[in-house]
Amino acid sequence: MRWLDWIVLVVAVVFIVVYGVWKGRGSKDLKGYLLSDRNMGWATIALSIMATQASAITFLSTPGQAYADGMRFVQFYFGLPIAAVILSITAVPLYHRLRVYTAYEYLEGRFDVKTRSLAALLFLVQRGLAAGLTIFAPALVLSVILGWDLTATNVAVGVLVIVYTAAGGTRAVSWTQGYQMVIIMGGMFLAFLIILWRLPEGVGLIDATRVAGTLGRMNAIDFRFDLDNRYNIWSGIIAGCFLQLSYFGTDQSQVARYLTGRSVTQSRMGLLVNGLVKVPMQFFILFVGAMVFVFYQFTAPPIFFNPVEVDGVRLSAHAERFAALEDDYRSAFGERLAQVEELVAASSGGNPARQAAAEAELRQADARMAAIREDAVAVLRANNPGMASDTNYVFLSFVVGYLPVGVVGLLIAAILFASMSSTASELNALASTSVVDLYRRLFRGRASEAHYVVASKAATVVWGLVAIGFAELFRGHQTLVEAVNIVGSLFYGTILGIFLAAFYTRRLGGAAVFVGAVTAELVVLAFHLLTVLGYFDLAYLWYNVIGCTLVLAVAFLVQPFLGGAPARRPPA
Amino acid sequence: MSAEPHDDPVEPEAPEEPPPLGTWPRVYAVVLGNLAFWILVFYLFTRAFQ
Repeated sequence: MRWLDWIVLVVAVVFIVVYGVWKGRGSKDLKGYLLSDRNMGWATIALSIMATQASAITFLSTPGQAYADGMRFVQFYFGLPIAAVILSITAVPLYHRLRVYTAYEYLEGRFDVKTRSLAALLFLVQRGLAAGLTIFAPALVLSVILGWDLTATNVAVGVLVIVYTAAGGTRAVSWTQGYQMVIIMGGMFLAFLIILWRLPEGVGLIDATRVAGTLGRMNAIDFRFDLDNRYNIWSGIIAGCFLQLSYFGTDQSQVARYLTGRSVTQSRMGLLVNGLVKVPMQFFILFVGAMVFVFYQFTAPPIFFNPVEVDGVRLSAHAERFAALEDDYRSAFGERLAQVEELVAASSGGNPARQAAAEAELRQADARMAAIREDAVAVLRANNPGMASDTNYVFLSFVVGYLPVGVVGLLIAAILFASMSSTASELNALASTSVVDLYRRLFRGRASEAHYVVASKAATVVWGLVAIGFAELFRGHQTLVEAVNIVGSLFYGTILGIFLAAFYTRRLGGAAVFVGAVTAELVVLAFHLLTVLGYFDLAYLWYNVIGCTLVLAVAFLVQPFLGGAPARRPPA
Repeated sequence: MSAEPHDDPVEPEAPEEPPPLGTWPRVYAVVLGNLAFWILVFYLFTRAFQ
């Protein structure tokens, strides 16, 4: 990075931190600190929801995903607008009417205090670990591509977020997220324009899209129903809807965003505007990745985008084999370039037969390059068996290598902001759940408002330090990243099951749901243990389905035997 | 350990603002229609370029 990039980066980051502290000043009570006095309008809520969901790894890996796999990942978001509508009808007015601080507070009104505490604890474990990952994952990519020290990056991002989140609470989080989101999307749009500008003369947007489509990167929609296929329209709409219902309806880091609305209308509109914008926004980010892919049809790409792995293999016993593959890759690139130029010429010449022949030739040339790259990846993996894919490195290595000075600083600021905005929401949610659902409810129920504000600030700092600690723990153990996702799946299904029972059943009481939740959690943990021990081969995403289903099934089963008062309805 | 829930002062609810299109079902229809529109656009896009 050059000095202008550093100036842009430092000015942007300092502005956000100072603005956050300034905007969040003066909260005297818990409602002001955790709910921003419930005075937010829909636009701030919508931007805050988007910024919370879009972590840095979203902006690093989504373009990389389009580069490697095409546009089909967009289907993953098709369930989001449907979930936004369902939650606008059910959860939003309910949470508002009950004037809750957290989603888990509602569970006490619906069931009992032990079910509320259980859900809050499960959330704290899951989200506490995830906050560490939110800091660590982009820090790792930045440290590899830019040579930054990993510990310094972890600590810097963590401390900056702690400063304004602890000082200003939810108001600081929401207002900074608005600006962060504008800078993030502005940066992506600028990157998109520069990619188009850097394509060879005579290659326009349509030509670029045709090249990407010929090589399988314009596969936005797939109607085939196939359980093995991770992204098709059916998995996006059906499974995606369940996932988004769980995330937006039960995860405090999102629920807190729309609880700040000054009315049900503002909260609903914040959520629904996200439902309107999210799908085209993700399409655009993927399209940027597809255009990076086209850019590398005209400019030789590295054989692998993680330079640390490449440097490592060059110093190993595999160096000679790897160098030979790099040579093959370069000459295969020359052949492919000739075919790409032929395709562009054929399509502008309006000759369908010539165009079809050029497309076939290009596919063959690309397949040759892909085969060489596969061999190279096998060599890299032989050198480092724990090596991860290079998808997350594609976009940032393009940004650093080919974008003009100043824009690089802006894009890196955007990536840091994406990390900071997600982390800020996570710390804010962890603090509010710790204080409202556990500390205030179970241990210190009669203190002053000022006391709870101080407790919330202290909890934010503590959770921030825990997140930095986890981020440091991941250092040198990249496989732990997947372990954190597994830990998330161990708990998410049970939490969703509890909330589905609360929202959509009338017959279940607190005792039955508590028994169901504990049973489900124990069964999920047992499944995981058996999987780890080799008795099962179950993909961890299925833990969500098993946990959620078991909560409901066991609760319905034991409800007749538990008797007692029928489930309490939320007060009207 | 306190077994009592915390007593927050009861706040008067703010009067609800009407939704932008008059009724909520219309707003929901726009959101779901927007999803259908984008799926159609992506489908045509896939057919045109893939």
